[in-house]
Amino acid sequence: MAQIYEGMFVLDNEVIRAGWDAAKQQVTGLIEKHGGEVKTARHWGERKLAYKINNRSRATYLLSYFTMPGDNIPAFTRDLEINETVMRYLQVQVDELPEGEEAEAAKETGGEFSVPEPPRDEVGTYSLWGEEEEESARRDGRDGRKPSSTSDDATESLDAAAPAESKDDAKADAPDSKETEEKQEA
Amino acid sequence: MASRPKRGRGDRKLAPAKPVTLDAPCDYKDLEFLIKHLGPQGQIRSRQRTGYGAQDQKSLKKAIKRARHLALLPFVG
Repeated sequence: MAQIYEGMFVLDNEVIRAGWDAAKQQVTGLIEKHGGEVKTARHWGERKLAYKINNRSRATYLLSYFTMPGDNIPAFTRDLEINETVMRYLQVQVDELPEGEEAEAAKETGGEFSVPEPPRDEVGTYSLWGEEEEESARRDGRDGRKPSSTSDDATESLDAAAPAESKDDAKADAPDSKETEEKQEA
Repeated sequence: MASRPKRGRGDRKLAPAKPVTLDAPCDYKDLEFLIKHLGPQGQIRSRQRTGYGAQDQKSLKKAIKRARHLALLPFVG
């Protein structure tokens, strides 16, 4: 049996503006061209990139699960490299389709699904903590993320960098002071 | 009793008393989880900081590097 792959494709927003279905068709068409079978393919969000790719700072993600004979993968990736719609791709072997993935993908085939037009390239800024923080705050009704464990050190250190924080406070909190030390060294 | 390392420039925060283990390998799509293991400039937290064993730390490293490739996470913050 052919191996199941999970493919994530970063697509150019210019092409998305012309139509999501056409862009999706380009990728699924490539998979089928190389003897693959598309299990699911769906929109995985449009976001600001952490760094520019092909001079674009926003892009749309397409998440797809497909099977393909392993021997065809090199030819498939070469076609992806040539294709100008796909700016980046990543394919990973998976054991099975994740639960709920089919249901997610099925939403797109329903008539009511539509992808909103992507914003202009320069809109928004990428922030490692910012976007996620805002989103989760909105979702949970919290005002900003409150650090609860060591894992949130980094957010703390950003707070510590603010002038409002007094030196004594920083010292009282061990991970905090460490972070500030690190910052100073840098 | 083993003596604690002296605090100073090269000081590292000690690993948690109890090692942390993951139930499943890290997923590069789970950004909220990955972000917790990054430093302020986007560095991967060391094993001493995360408390993971070799296997878990490796899966974390892999997931972060995959996310970086897709521009979901920065190489340099």
